[in-house]
Amino acid sequence: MKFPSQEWIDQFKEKINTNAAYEDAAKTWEGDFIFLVEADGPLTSPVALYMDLFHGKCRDAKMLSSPSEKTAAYTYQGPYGNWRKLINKEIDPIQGMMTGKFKLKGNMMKIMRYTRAAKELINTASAIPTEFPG
Amino acid sequence: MWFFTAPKIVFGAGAIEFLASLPTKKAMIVCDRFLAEQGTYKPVQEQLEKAGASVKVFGEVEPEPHITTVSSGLKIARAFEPDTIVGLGGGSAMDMAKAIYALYERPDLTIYDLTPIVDLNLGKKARLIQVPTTSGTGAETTWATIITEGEGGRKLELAHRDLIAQWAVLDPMFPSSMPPKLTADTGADALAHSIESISSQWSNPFSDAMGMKAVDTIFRYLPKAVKGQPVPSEVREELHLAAAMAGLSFGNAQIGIGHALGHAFGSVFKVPHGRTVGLFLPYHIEFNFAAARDKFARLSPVLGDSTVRNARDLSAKVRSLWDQIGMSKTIPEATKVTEKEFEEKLPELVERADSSTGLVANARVPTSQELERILRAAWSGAPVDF
Repeated sequence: MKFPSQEWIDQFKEKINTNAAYEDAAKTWEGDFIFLVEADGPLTSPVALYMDLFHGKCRDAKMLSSPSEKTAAYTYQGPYGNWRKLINKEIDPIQGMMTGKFKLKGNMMKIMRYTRAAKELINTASAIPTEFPG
Repeated sequence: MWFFTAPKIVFGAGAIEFLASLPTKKAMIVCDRFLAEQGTYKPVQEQLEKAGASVKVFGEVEPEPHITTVSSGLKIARAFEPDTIVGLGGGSAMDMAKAIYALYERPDLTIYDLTPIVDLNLGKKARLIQVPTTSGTGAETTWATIITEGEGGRKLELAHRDLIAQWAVLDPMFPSSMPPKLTADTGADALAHSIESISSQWSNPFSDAMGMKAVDTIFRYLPKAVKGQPVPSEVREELHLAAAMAGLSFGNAQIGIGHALGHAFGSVFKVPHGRTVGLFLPYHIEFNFAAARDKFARLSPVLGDSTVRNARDLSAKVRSLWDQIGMSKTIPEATKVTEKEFEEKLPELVERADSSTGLVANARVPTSQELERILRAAWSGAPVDF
């Protein structure tokens, strides 16, 4: 499944909604995300993936037509190459922020109380058979 | 890619005299009420005055320092305009000094901004110096600060590399008068820092080196420091350095589930930090052992091959040390909490531990159910064998 794509985010949503570990870790989480994949290498323009995460489930997920199409409580963004490493579990999502490989816009204090959920999200993404162009 | 962040360190007998050599105009000493009443700040004040500084003492820091005390200290800092802020004491005072320093430097921020992803760019108005008076917290060498908020006592676990002190001054004069119980509690905290960081997902060669040396020193000297009457000065000094090394270890690799549970339990039942994290350390080892077997094995040169070959032997080694220094191994031993109170608070304990940053890099990611099972094990003393 090509990343980033609507097909990929659909698969991500489906896997999140069947992941009991994520549901447990995020059972009180309320907040939507934009995952912004910045142009880098083979990705010539930025791609924004939107996810509405609520109480351990994903209520909505879609690839936006442009990064400005929608706003969200949180934006987690980084260059395409770093997203590739993140999904391949070569970068820890929290260390990624602390080393500047990813940036987060939104309430960091709240995020830091849900780091287990963040890791489960990455574990879920890593389980998707993903093709990375380039 | 990762970092190793450390302050410049002055250590050994007479280290405090270094302060006289730093050009200083105005210095603010942040300490707790006990140290203020006892006049423990006076040797620090004396050295700062030798440097030409006028000195203001903010001696209002309470145990588990509260966000309202940050505001009080900040008000004084803004009026006094120091070029040097000295944190003097245990973890509470040094954490308070970090928070005051950051918000004095950046009046445009709130305490909730003290997170690793904000560009703080501190050090424009003042330098931060940390002088520990106990040997355990490691706050003198870390860039984290724990501040309590609200009436419920929830702990804000704040961190930013810019919160690291420019200087840590490790003078064994200060911990020399620690009573045995405080020596045990703080030493247990330092051992928990070391072992949790070595088993962390973020452990690295630099943090391991500091952690291993600290583990070696603590096993070697902590019983002598608790039982010695008087305690030999070299024992105090070794443990003082070990605590700072343990701080460098976990400050660059993270704590783990032992501290997550310790923070949760301590904040709900008002139990001293060192006692709670010491209590949970054997359970930390047992829960994480399979996931971090290779990392625990790095302790082999220090503790011996046979000790680190399985979880039970390694946790037994820690429990044996706890027996030597009078540390509690179960919740009923450590507190007067009744079983009914424990059961009533169990969901809150799980929720608080689950939201602790101590889980960020723990070797094994626990479920809520597993957190509850570990807490129950710490109540009964049963091994964590799941």
